[in-house]
Amino acid sequence: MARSVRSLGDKVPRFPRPGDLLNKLPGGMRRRVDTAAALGKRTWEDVSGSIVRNGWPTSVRGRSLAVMNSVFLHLHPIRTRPDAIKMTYTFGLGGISFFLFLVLTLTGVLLMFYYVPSVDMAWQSLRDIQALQPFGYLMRNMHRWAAHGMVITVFLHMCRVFYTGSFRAPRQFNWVIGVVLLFLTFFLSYTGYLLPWDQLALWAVTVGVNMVGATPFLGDFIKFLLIGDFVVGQNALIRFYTLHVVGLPLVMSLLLAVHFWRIRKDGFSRGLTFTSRIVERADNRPAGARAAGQGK
Amino acid sequence: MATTGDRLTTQEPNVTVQKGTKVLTPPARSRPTTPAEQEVDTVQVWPHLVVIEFLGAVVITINLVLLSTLFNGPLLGLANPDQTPNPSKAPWYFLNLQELLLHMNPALAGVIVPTVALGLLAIIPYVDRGSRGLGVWWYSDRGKKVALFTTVYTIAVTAALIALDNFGKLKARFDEWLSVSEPATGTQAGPLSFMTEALGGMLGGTATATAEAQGILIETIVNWLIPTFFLLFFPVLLVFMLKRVYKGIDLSEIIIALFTGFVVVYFVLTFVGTAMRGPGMELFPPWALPATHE
Repeated sequence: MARSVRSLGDKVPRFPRPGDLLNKLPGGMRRRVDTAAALGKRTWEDVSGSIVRNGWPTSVRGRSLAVMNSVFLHLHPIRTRPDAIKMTYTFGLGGISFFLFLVLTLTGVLLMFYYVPSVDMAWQSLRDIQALQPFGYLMRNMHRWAAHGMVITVFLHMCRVFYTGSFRAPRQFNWVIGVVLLFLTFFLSYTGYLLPWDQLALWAVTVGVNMVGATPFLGDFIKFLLIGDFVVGQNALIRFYTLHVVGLPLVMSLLLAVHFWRIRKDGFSRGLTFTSRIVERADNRPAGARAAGQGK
Repeated sequence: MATTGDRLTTQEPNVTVQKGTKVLTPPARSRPTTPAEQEVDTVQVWPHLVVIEFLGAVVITINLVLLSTLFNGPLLGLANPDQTPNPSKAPWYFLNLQELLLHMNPALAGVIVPTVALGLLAIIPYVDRGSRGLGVWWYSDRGKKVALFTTVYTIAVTAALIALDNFGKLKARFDEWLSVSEPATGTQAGPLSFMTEALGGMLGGTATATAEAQGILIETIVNWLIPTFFLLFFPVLLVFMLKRVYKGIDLSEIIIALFTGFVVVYFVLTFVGTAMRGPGMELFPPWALPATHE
């Protein structure tokens, strides 16, 4: 049966390939094409090899190099314990928060091309973004929902880290950075809330600003510092805008870098890594006390 | 920890269990230490973790685009400083603070409570310093039960306190109890009128001073002392109850209870502030919440 198919296949005319044409070229021209092709291939290998050094990683060594040699991936360790990356352990909440931060940065930059931070034009510019710009509605909605989503996922991430005891040594300070990041997430979301300059924005921010104004002794000073006026107006809008698009994202990026760097150094809380082994080695309490978490 | 040569083994030696002390069961196997052992016990981040992250990003992007296609972000009319919507609400994640604002002094609700809460959150690792429970959900079986107990307790207490302030009309009551007798208007002296008279005397003894004194006392008692007392009393009561219910509870489990209390209070107050506060910040059932008046 197989034989008859093959013999039939030999009789069916083959679909022409680029090589067929090449074979029909006269000798001199064919050599030139070959040389050009070789040059092209070498150039491609030079360029692509200069961007990604190791090619598609298939070996253990290649996979290790892929993580080590990439600025983006090197925040990861090369190997990790299987149960450290189980979805039901972390639910990926920190990663989701960071991804939403990236989405917010991207959509935020696109919105900035059209948004005007002035009380006369802010609201209208947002209407224009929605009505006139290609994908304007989509960008604005994604920015808004991702912002709400990030508040939720950052809060849940904190709960996850707490209930898995991942704040314990040597990660104490990273927990503190996390609390600051939680505060920054709230503050970023809150400063963005004013920018549409609609009734919702103005009054929500007024409520919040009045709360800050109730600070004992320093209330009026802090309130004025925040909104640059006695009521929420143009000065408040430009301050919130600057904080929202430059100031707070810069601080946040810096703290995120430290946050991730320390996770990298300390390892996933279920993994056993270099730093945690140093800490264990330095821990010279009696084994029983260490196991019970006492006397430290 | 026994060190053999250059190798580090963390196999726990047999631990004598004394009465009243808590000792973890030793790990079933020693942790891998040499590269060869680690190879067996671990997976490569590329592809095992990188694939999860990539797929996660794809799934979130799809969901976010879908959500953004189906639901538009709100954009009301142009901001108008002369027209206050009723109620004016903060963003939802601050509505818990705005809810507190209804029950206590603004400085306490809007500044002191959140600052103390963030501060307490930040110092957790320096208070709960043991290494037990690292990388384990719920710390222990008892930790899980403690969290559940605290959830039920906190929901009940928070709801009861909101109801007490809302239906008990504390402010009106103290206004009545603190009022001094005024024959002109026929106002009877309340049982606490001596406080008003004493403070009014200090402020000058005139009728205006007495009225001022009454205002100060109401603010101090209803918006400072009572809320502060409750804010301290109920966590302490919780710890006391847990110590009775779960004998031998340790510090980590108490901190689990306090953290859970914080999370549940945050959630309950956010829910009440979002779904149950209508015009005039009056309390409504969530299914009958009136729309905002412009």
